Amino acid sequence: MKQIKALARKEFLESRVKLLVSLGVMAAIAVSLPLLFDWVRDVFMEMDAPERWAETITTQMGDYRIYLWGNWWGKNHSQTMLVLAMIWGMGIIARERENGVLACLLSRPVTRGKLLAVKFAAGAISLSLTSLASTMILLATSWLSRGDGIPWFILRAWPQAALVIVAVFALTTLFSTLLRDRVMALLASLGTTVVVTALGFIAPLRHISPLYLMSAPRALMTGRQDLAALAGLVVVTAALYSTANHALKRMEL
Amino acid sequence: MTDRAAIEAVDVHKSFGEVKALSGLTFRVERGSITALLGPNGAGKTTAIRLMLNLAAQDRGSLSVLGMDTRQHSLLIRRRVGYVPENRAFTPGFTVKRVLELFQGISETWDKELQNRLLSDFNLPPTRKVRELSRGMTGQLALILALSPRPDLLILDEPVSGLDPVMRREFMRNILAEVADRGQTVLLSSHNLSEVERTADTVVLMNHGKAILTGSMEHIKNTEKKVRVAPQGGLPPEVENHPAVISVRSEGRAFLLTVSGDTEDLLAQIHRHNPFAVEVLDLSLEDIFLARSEGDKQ
Repeated sequence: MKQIKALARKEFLESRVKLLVSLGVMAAIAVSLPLLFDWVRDVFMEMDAPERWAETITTQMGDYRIYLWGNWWGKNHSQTMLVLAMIWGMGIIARERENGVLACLLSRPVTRGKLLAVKFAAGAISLSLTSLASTMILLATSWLSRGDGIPWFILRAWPQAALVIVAVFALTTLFSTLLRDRVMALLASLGTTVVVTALGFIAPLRHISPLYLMSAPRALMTGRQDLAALAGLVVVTAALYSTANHALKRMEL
Repeated sequence: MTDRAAIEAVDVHKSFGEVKALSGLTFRVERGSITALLGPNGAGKTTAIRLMLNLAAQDRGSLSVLGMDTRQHSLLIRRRVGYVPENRAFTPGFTVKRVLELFQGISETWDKELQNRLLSDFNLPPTRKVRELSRGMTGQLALILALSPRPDLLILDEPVSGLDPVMRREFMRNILAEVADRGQTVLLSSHNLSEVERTADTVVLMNHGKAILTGSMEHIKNTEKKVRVAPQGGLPPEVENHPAVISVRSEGRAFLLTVSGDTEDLLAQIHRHNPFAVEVLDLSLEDIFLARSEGDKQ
């Protein structure tokens, strides 16, 4: 326990600037989304849009709740958080391997499994809390700016969105363990995520798209969590983490 | 394998792709000794140390540290070993105090009193950030981190590289002062032969991934000599090819032979050819190192 506390403290101290910047970026997006609704709606409504887009614009911009859900979970929050998950994960092992800190730590009585577990948990907790905190800021801004109650329903998508973020973080962790260079790890994770997202545009494969999963349409429509999606995300995350753990145990320093 | 061995390597092989880092490394370090691991760049010294700490795994051969197999008991070994790596990397944004707290947290034993005494002896400012430390200070911090858990075995990989001569001497003096009374074993990998000569009592000389010379400093200096011969004509083949001859260098009309082991028979062979002059010279560790590294002949 003493080791876990010491390693966790190191991780949180090292990533506090990253955490503050991430929170700042997400908070800015969360604040702007409710405040810009009227302006964005007017711009879109006044647009001379082609007929096939007009209906979509009317649907999305005509209802504040759909606008909030679609733009937060389907676009702004999700895209930004996925990029943040990759940035957090890219150096988790690769950076410490590059600068020699990994060898220094592993020459002490610390197991590789414990080291990765603490690093991964610290990153996953930070990212999930950033996502949750920014969503709470979105709710607060919405309540303060519109005065028609707190749109609590928005929170229904959070468990699924958080699990996607953690899954992408696990994917980046895997690449950070397999590749010596953190930029390569970032590019590999970005490439994989883009490919999976692109495949998700094919209708039968939409359930594998991170953006689709983060928008949690079933949770919006039924008000209940999509347990199959949650279980699938847990399995994918566990598989990616377990592979990274295996790779770290075999790593030569 | 006996209980007296702090480190015992038997026929250890390790390759990185096509590159053979260790090819049959065999040596032994006695408990309580200060052993120098010497060798030119690429000899395999750092690889051997990494295998001891299970930072990498050997392809074959057996390696034990403090009587335990490095692959099976890695964690137990690392509990009892203090390590000063060549690349002293600590989180650059952390202060000295924070680095010490981290390592205290992950070490199972930690002598806080010793840590504070060393901090004070080294005059290391606890609030200074790692990135602001000089190379000498970083080395001192690494030494505090290695010594504070009171290890049974201290492994130092190029501990004085990059330090000026005054710092080098002070650094080695500090190490000796700390380990002298406790009977700790020290394995010291270094290029700085004058420091090693002053510090170590045993030497393991490596080249091309194996140990080419091992023994006590005293024994090695007694058995490794230079013989300057001024023969009539050339150097007789039975002298040049004698098993005691490690290397031969011509010096004008004379020849300088680096020899090892029983030199009596060699000298008898030389005198049989009525040379103009024969002179037996003592060697410094540096001479032995250079001759063995260049000659690499047992």
